[in-house]
Amino acid sequence: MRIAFFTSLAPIRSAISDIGEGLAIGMASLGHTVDLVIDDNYTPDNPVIVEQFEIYDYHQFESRADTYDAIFYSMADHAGYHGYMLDFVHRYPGYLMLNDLTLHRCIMAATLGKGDAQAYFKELDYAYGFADMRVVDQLNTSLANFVILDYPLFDRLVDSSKGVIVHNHHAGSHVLDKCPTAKVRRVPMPYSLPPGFPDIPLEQLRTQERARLDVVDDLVFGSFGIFVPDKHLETCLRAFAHVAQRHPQVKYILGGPAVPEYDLAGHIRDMGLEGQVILTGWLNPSEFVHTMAALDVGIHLRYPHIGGTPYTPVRLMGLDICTIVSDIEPLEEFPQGACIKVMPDEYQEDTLTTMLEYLADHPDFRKQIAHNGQEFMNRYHTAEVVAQQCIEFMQEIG
Amino acid sequence: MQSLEERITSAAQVLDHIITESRYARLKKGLPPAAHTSAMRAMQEKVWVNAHWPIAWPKWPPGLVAKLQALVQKVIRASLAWYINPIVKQQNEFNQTVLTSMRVLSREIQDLRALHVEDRREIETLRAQLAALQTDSKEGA
Repeated sequence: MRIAFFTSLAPIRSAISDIGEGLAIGMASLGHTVDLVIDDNYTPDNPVIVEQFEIYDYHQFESRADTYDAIFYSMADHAGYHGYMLDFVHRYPGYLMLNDLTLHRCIMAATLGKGDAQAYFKELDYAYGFADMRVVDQLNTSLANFVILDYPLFDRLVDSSKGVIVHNHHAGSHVLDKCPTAKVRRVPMPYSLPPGFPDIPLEQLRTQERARLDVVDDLVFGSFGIFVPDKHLETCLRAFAHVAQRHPQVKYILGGPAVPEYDLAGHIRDMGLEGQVILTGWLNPSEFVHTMAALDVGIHLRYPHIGGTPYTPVRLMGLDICTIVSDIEPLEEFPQGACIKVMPDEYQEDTLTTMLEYLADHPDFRKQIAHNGQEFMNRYHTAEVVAQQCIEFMQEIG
Repeated sequence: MQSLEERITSAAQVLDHIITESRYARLKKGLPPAAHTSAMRAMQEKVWVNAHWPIAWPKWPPGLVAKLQALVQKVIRASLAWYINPIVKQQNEFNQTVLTSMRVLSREIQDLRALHVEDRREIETLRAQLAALQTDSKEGA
């Protein structure tokens, strides 16, 4: 097949760039020709991607559109990164991979944000039969994440697409609930390392990174990604502080930046954990994985969620790291035992504290969970396995 | 050599036990009220709709035009009070009812969760007893 693959790429700071690069390589490894179609405001900087693929900005795509057998859109809820795809999904119907379960903010920013209220109202009217500012008015409240899932605004995009790919069954049923005639397929979220990542054994990488971060003899916990309050980092750090009382040789790595309105460094100071917490700030994809490799235990709590499968746990498990996640619908397919799932309820902090203490005391069990997770990823989530499922779906629909 | 599925199941049993015991211990210490979740707090803060947003209060705005504008707004608001106030009253009554219902539901969910924790613990105990009996019976045979 000849596939036009709309995706963001590095250096765009989004997990969707990592997913797109991995999946494109997966599709190409199966013998398909993949051309990448990106926004016109940046230059891809991963040399492996630049060398392996033809990359076009969306202006160049139109004259080439007829040369492709399938058009694949990897989309998420960020207008700055994926807004350029919106118009093309309607004009060149293809396969829509929904990495988030709402596109409301993306569509809102691409319409209302550019002064085109009528375009925004048209989308609302199509999906819900009203055209006013009631959703916008609620987006600055603490209920925003619940509201945004009630009005995901993907309806017209889904109806314009030949098929829709999601990464979890919860998302699949949500799409079908809103668009009952859509052709929806669940494929796992692809796991891959950044293209060009050094091909060295994980154990060697771990040793090397622990030396670089000066945590050779420490028990290392960590959380990675972009830090927002919904990731419950204060809960994680309080649980960590309990463990640190009994195990002085512990560190907590926070790999990534906090959103500006979230004073994470202040919280760390207030908890008196400056000496034990390493806050890295933004890391490029390669640094991100390198730093992540130093962990013994990765924690990725998320509640409320916006329906998409979080990417960080996929990376953590693939890297043979014992991974703790929230027991939420988008992670339903990840079995307890391949990772550790903690319910996001009133018991969360106690459960997490007990769990961290148990893991600190039982290194063999920690390793067992890590190995289970890695094998689970290798079996179901590799970019090649996922690419094959995407290709089969496209071939079935034609 | 165990299969991946067997290893996952075996690890899940250990995890389930740790989680159940931890939840049980927390339950015995007393749970924080479910009504204290962030969503409930936000609802509580916003439940009361006020028909009388302050205009030119506590200070009149600077400038003659702004003062005149505020004065006109005050007059309009006063003249529309007969129309707006009953609607706001109905809205507030509805909001209060919703909040009360949510509190009742939160409490019920909390009670059900507590019951669930107790049940899980009992199941764990029974499973352990069953496993011991099975082992004994195999050894006896």
